[in-house]
Amino acid sequence: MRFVQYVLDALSLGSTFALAALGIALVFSLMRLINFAHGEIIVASAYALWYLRSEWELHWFLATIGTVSVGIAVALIMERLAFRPLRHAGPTMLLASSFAVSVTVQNFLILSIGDDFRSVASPSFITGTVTWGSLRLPKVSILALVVSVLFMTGLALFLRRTRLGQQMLASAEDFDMARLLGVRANGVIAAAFAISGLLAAVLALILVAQQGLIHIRMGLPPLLIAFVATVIGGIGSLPGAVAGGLILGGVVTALQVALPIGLLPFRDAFTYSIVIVILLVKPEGLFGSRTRESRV
Amino acid sequence: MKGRKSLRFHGLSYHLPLVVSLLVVLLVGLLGAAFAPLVLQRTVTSMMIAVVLAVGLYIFSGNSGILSFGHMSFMAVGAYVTSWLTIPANLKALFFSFPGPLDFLYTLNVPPWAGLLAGVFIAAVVGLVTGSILMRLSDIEASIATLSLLLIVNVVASNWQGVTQGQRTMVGVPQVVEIGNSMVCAILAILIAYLYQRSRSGQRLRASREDENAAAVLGVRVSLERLVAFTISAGVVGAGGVLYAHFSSGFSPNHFFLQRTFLIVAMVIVGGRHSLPGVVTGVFVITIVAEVLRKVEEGVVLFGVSINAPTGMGDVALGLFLLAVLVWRPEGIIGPAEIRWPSRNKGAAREVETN
Repeated sequence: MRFVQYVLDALSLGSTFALAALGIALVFSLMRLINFAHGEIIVASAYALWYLRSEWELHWFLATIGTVSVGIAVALIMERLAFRPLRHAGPTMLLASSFAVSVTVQNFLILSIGDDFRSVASPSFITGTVTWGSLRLPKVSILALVVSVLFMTGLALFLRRTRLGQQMLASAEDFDMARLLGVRANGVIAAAFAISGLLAAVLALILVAQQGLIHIRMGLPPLLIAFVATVIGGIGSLPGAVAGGLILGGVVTALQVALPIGLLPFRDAFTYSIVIVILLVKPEGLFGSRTRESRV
Repeated sequence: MKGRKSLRFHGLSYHLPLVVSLLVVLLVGLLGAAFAPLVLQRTVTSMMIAVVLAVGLYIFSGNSGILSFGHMSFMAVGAYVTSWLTIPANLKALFFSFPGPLDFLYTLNVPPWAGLLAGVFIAAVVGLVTGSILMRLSDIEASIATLSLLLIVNVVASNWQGVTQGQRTMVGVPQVVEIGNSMVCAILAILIAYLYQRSRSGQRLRASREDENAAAVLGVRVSLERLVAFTISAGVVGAGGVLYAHFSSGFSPNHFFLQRTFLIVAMVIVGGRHSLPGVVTGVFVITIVAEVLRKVEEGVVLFGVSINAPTGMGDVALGLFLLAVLVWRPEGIIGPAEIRWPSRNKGAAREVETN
């Protein structure tokens, strides 16, 4: 029974990791950009939620819609202002520029909002825990699991069943060829950013529901976890990002259980070491392809 | 890349990148020491420390083309090593609880220069060990792996209470760094970087930066050359950490984390990440921009109008500045090629444009 509990914990944790990783992987697959500023979209969405819930005292459903719109808007603005002019830069310079965007937006948020903690009350239907035999699960974790699975399924359906989704998949495969066949580069990249903004906002909602608190640096831990997850799964592979997130959920839960008390503060150091190990054993990640490597 | 003419002519023009870099550092250092008021002297000193850090990062990233986000780990190593060695013994007993094998540190007390040597050595060793793992990767994977290194070091430094004092501020390191000695270190760092990039290993690594596969086919053992550069650059960045420890009145793990990484990476990119004078230029430009912005935050009177920007505006502007450089001058202010006399520059410039 205890094992089942661990599996549930790992799944709930891993699904939120997967959500974060998907946002990063989607943009990377099209632009070769590892978006450091993804964390800032999460933070901006969280503050939007605080504003709508605590200041305007909106109904949670309206606040949710508002938060998601803000996430999408922030992602689109970033794409238009910062990343579109840099589209032809190499991956390294793109990474550096997303670092700059992240610092800029973060400090702008500190400037305009401050860096104190804000609290947001969750609606009553997601507080408390569900007990079933000896299993205990916070309702928030169940919500996180359900929402993550819903969004991942939705994304998969979108990519396979819609015209835009197909264009995005084709562009991720071979951007130049896709453009020759009439795919609009601006369109698919903007769509990828919009979806990544949507995923970031959903993640922000889950994080705020779990923690009840909003802070200017709350975007960093999920961002770093997402990096690790995308690398494990193979940078740019969407199934890989989901798998990487779930694996990390399992690893973090296992470390939490298995590490002696004295080493517990160092848990994240072990987690990050896993990236290096994976990169050494399989540099292309679990689901990555070697096609990016040019042939001699 | 190098024109045949300049290979034959080993005069001033051949060594121009070095000469220009050294002159800039010397000029700013001597002027600062002679004329600057006390507050500005500290700015000049921290500029010199930044030169050490940025040039250290350049030795690896500039020559290999792999941007490292992990080098501030070595800065942390340098800073902590020198604190273990130079903090007075009575304070040490108060602050630390070293594990068994490190017991000897309680009584050991060495002068700061010995702390510098030890810090450089240990940082280079850590660079060698971590590099032998990381340097098997290329491209963006290597960048992410170096970021993981930074995260690991930060987690360890923040939680290893007995040895690093965790999140608390480390105090008691003798404050001996001023313009003079930091300038000497900056000059040494530039010399090391220059000697390395003109060495066989450096040239091979630069060849692999241009085309990894072509270099490998021509017999360059890319990961080995990367490891050499990584180790040297870890040592130099470690020196920057030692200097920082003996300069700042106290430090904690967050001084060696993302913010510092951003600042140093920005310095390397803004000036021109593939050339030594470019990196030195980047350090000075960013320092000046940051200093001016700080002044504006404090409030200045310009043409009778009092300007007082809100605190934090400086960081926003710095980020925007870096973005602007990336968009409009992606190769940095100085550009991709090493500095030459203008007359010899035309061929090189055209070659770069067509690339």
